Amino acid sequence: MLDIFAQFTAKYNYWAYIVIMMVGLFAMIAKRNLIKKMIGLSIFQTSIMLFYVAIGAKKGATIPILLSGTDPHHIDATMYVNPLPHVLMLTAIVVGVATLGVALALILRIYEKHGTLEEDEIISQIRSS
Amino acid sequence: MHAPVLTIIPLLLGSFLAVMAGWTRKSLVYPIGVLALILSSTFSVQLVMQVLSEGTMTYDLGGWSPPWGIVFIVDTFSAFMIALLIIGALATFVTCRDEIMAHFEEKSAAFVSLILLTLAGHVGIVSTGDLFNLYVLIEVAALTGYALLGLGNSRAVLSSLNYLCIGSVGASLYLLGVGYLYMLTGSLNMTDLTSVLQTFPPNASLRAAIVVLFLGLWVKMALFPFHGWLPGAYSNSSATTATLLAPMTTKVMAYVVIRLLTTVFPGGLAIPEALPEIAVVLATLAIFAGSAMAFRQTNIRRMLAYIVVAEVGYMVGGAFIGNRMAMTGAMLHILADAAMTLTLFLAVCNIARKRGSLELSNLQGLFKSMPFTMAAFVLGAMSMIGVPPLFGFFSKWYLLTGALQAEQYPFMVALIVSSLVNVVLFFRFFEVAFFEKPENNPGLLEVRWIRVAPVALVALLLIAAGLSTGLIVDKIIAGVIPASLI
Amino acid sequence: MGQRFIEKSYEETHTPNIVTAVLADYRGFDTMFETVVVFIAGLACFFIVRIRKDECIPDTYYYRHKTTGIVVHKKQLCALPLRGSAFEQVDADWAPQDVVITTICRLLIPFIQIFGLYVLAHGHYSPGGGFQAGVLIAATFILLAISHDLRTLVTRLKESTTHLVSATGVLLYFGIGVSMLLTGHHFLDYNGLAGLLGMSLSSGHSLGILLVEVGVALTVAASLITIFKLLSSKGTVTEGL
Repeated sequence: MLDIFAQFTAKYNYWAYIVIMMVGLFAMIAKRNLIKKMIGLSIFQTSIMLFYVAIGAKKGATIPILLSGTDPHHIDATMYVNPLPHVLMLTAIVVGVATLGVALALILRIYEKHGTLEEDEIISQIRSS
Repeated sequence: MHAPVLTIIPLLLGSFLAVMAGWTRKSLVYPIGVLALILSSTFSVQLVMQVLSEGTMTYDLGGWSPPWGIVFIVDTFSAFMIALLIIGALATFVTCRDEIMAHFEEKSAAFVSLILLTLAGHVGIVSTGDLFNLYVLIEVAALTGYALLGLGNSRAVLSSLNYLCIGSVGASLYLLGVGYLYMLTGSLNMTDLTSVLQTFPPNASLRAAIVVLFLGLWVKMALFPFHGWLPGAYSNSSATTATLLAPMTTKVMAYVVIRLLTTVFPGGLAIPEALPEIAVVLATLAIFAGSAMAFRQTNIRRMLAYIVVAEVGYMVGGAFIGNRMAMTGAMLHILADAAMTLTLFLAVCNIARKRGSLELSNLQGLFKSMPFTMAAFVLGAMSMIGVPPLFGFFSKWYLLTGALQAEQYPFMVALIVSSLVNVVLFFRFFEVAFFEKPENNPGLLEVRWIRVAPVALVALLLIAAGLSTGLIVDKIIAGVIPASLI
Repeated sequence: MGQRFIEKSYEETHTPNIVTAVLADYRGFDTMFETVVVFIAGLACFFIVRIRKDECIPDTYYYRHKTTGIVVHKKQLCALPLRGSAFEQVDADWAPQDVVITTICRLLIPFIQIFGLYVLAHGHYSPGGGFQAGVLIAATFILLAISHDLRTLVTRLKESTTHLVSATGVLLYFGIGVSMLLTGHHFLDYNGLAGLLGMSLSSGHSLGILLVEVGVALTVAASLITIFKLLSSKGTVTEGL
């Protein structure tokens, strides 16, 4: 019993990202307001960014910027966190923001047309037209 | 030497210059677009020649050799597909010129720019050899798609938002899969990944990674049951956008799946055993569902969109059945389907311009008023049904043979049933268009020869490609499938 | 792979910030497409939302007499052209902004912009780079729009300027890549830059990284301002006098 608990807490970062991902997915599916759905999408994408950054972490390491005074020919790789996941997630964050921007533009047009942001009202308006 | 990247460069340059021209000198926008597409097509044909004579080309971007840098890998099949995509987009661009330039000037520049960027994204997806670069290019193609699909009839914006939600979830799932693979193997490069996975012990995380990766790709290519976004998006948007995107998006994603199955995970390396079986089941359901739902549609474009859903089933089923014949059939079907869908949608674009509405009741007497366009449509429809010697017949034949060899009888039944359903669907349309008398309105807008020529050329291409299928299979496809696949 | 980046990046690119080195050099092609994604976002918002400039929108328009502050509202078809008149067009929810807010924002904006340029230039040595700098600079313009009103921003920064700057930024990145092609190296291979300008290889890489980060900052700033202007004005981006 105790070792199950130990196993659980040892990988707490992975559990955290799964919980956040499910929260985001739930918001996207269950909420009726379009803006809340978009926030759910953002949360979903953020969880994946957390996962990537968590993979690259090293115990006792600092951010991947060379400390002043290090000899460029003898750099200890264990002192610095893996930079590649950070780079990949910079790209992913920007892509997420761009998607959110386009989504907001689309939502603005929907609002201009239907006068409401609730999904069920929009669908009933379309069905009746 | 620089050929793999030269296909994308004119497209990117053209899109940036088109935006600048839209705000300074508006008359240059369309010429820039056409010039970029023509340059790109020339480079792509050159690339095909080079790859056919020299073999697979790799190109290190940034000068860094893989796996430190990003690499483009172009083999015979990718080169051919790149050429097909670019020439198809050129045909669409030339045919639908009036619809593109009908917006006000700065918006036309944005339209041209988005079209070029969509094409650049899709060509990049086909060429790249790096998993994360693939994600970025998928998002480039997707974002431009969301924007382009937002303009159309009154329901276009909602359909585009729907596509945005589902597509973003799919891309994020793909990213998650790539993350797991990187965590396990430490590599993002496709060839490097294969060599690492050869000696990798079986691992639950690896199985989860592969499942999530493929799930993301299936969502993006509208495999049943994730196809909900496709019919709405392609039928509510403007005709130009549907013509541009329908032959590209799903086929390119199917190409990615095939690339992963043949090069990154050859011979079922690291793939959980249940995954191909589930994929074939979903593919069979996709074919049945797509054909059944196409049956109930009265709008031509909506009907074609559901047929595209069924075609995705063909490609995925053929890829996952697991023998050489079926894989060849799937690859042939990607090429064939791109050409057939392009023909049909181009013809519909012309019909829409002439008649306005695309409801079946409005389309009487089309054979008389638009003979060449309808001839091209007939060729495309025959190819979809699978009539020899058109291209569609050969790809279906390979798929059927492969399914027979692997004893996948439900898939075979689905293939045959869908061909019959296609017969009914298209002949229903032909009956209205041929036998009924044309109404007395002279037609909404004229369709000049420059709009009919591309559609006719693409339709003739279907015949030419069908007759030379043996050549295509030997030269282009056979070398790409690993020899271990029987 | 991460280990190799940490150990070799300073020798090859002369950049202490390994993340920037990997982002703009080793995986520069990814970053170029990321910049293209930001460009697409601005373009897509424009494509979806923008209403034709001289389209007449029947609405109630408010005009404020500049000297006395009296506001007149007229229900009519088109907005009146008001070049050089004593009236200025205001939005329906215009309220005289608090003097404290407008003054403080006006004083702070230049400093924030300088900080943005610092973040751009020091992307090599501290966390920063093109994207972060672009966002900071866009934030200053958006701060101007929020603290005053959108019309103030639009008179200072025309719509065509933002679009042209956004295209220029991504064209700069792309142009560097293509010029490397013209010097015979691979696309986006900064060794060509070192050869062109006669520097050592690692300095060439460092300069290449700086130039592409400038391009990225331009595009990100311009696209974000475009998106803000379009979304907050519901597509009209009303140009002032």
